[in-house]
Amino acid sequence: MRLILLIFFLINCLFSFAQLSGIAGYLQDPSAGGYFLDGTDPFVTGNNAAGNARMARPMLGLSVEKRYGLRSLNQGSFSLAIPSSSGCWSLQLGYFGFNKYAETRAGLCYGRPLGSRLDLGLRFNYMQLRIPGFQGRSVIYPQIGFRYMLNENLMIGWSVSNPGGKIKLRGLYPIPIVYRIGIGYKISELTGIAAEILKEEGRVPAVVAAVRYRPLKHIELRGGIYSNSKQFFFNTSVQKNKMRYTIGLLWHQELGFSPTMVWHSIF
Amino acid sequence: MKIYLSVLFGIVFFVKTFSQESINEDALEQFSVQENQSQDDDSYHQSIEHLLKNPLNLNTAETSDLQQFTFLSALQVSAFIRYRNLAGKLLSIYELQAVPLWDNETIQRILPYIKISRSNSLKEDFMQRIKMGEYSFLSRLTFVPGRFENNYKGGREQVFSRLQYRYGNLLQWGLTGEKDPGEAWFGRNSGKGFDFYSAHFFLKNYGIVKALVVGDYSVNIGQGLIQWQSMAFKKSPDILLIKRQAPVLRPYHSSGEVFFQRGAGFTIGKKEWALTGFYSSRKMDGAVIYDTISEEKFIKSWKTDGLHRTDEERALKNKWKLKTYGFSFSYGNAFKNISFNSLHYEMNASMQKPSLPYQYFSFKGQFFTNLSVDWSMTYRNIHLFGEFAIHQFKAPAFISGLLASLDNRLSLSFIWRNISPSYQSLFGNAFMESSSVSNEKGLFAGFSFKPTVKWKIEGYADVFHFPWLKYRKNAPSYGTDLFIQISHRLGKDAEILTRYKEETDSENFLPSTSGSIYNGYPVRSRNWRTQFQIKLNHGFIWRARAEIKWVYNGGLQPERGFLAFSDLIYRPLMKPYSAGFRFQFFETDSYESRVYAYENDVLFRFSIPAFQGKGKRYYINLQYDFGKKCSFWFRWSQTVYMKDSSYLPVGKNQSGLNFQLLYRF
Repeated sequence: MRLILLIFFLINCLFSFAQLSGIAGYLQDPSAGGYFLDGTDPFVTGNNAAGNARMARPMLGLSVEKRYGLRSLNQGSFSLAIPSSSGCWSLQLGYFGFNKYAETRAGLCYGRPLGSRLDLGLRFNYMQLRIPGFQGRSVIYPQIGFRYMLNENLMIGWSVSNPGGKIKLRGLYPIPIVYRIGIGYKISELTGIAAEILKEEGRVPAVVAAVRYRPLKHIELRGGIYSNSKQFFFNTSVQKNKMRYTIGLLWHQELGFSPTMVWHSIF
Repeated sequence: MKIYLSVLFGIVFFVKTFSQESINEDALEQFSVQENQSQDDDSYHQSIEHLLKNPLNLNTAETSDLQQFTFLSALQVSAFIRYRNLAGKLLSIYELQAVPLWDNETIQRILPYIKISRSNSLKEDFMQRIKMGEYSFLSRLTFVPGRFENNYKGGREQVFSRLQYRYGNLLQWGLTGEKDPGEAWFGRNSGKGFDFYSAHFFLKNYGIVKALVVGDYSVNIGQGLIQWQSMAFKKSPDILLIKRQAPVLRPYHSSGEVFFQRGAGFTIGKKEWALTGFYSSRKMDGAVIYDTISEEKFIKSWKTDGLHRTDEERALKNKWKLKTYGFSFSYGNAFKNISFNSLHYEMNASMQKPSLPYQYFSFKGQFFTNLSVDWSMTYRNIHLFGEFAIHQFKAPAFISGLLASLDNRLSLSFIWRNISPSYQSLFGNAFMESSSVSNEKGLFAGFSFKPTVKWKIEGYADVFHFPWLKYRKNAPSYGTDLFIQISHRLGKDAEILTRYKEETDSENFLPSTSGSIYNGYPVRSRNWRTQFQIKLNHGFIWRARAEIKWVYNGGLQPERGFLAFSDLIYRPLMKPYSAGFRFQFFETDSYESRVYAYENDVLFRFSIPAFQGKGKRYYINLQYDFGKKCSFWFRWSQTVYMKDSSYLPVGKNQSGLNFQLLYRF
């Protein structure tokens, strides 16, 4: 019975696409790098497809999350970013769920600068849903993103996922359109703030706000809140040589904690 | 020189105008909204008014002196003490700009109340304190509107009088008398004159004695888990003011009849340690019943409104006795401190446990013990504080917070609290959603961001959980509170702000008549306010506000509330008079969508009425200083309800009158 309820919950989560299932809390943190030029990591294109446009060096990253402490809601992601002469290519792979319900995701993204201030990114996402006993479903949908640097400390960004809105999960249910508009402000070398307004089709707009603080050269603290699901998140990153380790915690007042671990390496 | 003095005086006047208007107004409004009552304790107001005439010398001020300013956070107090320890005594007020974490706004707010002097502090000689202080006599007569029953023993007037002697903050004593509307006052029905009397004697910093109080006083311990009787605010736009800070013992001289101790207390200390002990014995109002079977007396109820207007209310006066004793031992300084606290209550009869399910964990019995340890620590730009308490050696409560100033432009605050349903506190007042210190878990996070000198963005998010039932909540419940405010200063003379607040909670839908355990529904309220304040020419200040409220009662039609007012205040420079006028319109669908608005009243009096129905309200305040020794206030207010109002009180037009006289000698 619990299993059926869990599957039902997860299917319903598809309708809160960007917010609960399938996308790790860490990946939705706007202060993680999408709106800053420094501190970018290979998962940055999850928020904004243009997030990797000015990446100078190749990066490789892994993340794992145990949503609300439930093994059934485990998810893992892998990301590789390789700069090219004109921009940067990113490949991201992810898995969410368990043997009775599984989402497999892949994303291929290309971002490039258009001049000194504007960045553009285009990402194609592949998602496959597998529930034993039911026919598997898969879909490909695009995501486009822009970033604009108002000055060296202030950046705004805009992205939309599935802009056409007509793509469905193999005729089953539509993939919602998700609009994001965000801003990042680097207050100082130590501190920055970022916020995003996220509007998913058929849902009330949500605000994600975050603060980034570097008390020491190799340590970064990030924290924020998702307004609609009332979840707080706290991430702590430690940089050692070319490797960066992040431990994150997402907290929901009723559902509990979701720990995340992220590793990425700069080559 | 003249221009310099004029500019400086103008700045002080401007600061006085804005800072006096804005000090605690938001927090007082929020207090009234959450507690559904007004604040009686005017001790803080009195302290601030005293400081206007007797500014605090920052070169000799102690941590406790700075903590009395509610707009100074713990981080700012620590930063100032550290700066003074390192750099020595300040040379001028301009040096305040060099103090870390003291921004221009803080400096402007504190300027009217401080001075920089190289001379020593007030003499500690006891005879000098007795002879060189100042007496003041305050008398207030208020006629309040509202329902007035025929069986009230007294007239409609509210009378308050206070005689006080004060030598700085080192010695004070006083006598206070108060009578509420409807209570008898002298004459046939009252042989004692006032319904409530209060007296106090308070001595500070006399050798090893840091504080000595006899009479009525308030006790403030830790973060309010076991005891906090002074004024304390909860959520407000000032997100750095989440920490409780005040001396353990403070003299009490307000009109509130419940939240204070009556007896004696002392604090002795030297260098980094301090020991406080106190004892109190008071008679309290309430119903006491005698059980003929067990032949025992039980306290059935505790009456805390302080009203003794009718024979029934008078019959409950001073019916049971409460003894309180405790101590607090603290060790530390302005940067790190730990305290161990103990508090015991003893009643002359057993408190009877109420029978309703939500009161399952309410205290019952005759003896009541709370222990706690509280701490605070400042490390660079971060301040940690907290308290852990235990009730009857069984039920725990924990609160811990962090203040962080990440940059000159960005500050954060966090508070986590976890208070078990079985934890009880008679006079606790901690930073929580509930008014009682019990049955709550929650996380509060706030930020304050100043992208430029003229812009400020403040906000907080609070998520909380009530593990057990509460009044009007027949099941454990969750709630959230989100707030954001953007303010902009248009030059020196104007400020505009807009704020949005959203709260979610759950409540019982209807009284449970079907026998079902719970039929709750989510309640969401949204509140949007915009206001501005402009200093016009020749001492005129114009202020206006518009506020809209929406209340969604889970499935029912949303209810709306609206309020708009316009103030015109006249405070000319170098004149002994001032005046204020307000015109206000309000319209709400029901009591649930009521809207609150802070009103300027006579000195030391708070007025934060709630408005429901449809109507207009206006008031006029007048003040005149007869020389330096005597001041007089007059206030007239009226609320006129319209014929189609959803709420029509008895007596459609409700008028109020206040007269107040303050004489210093």
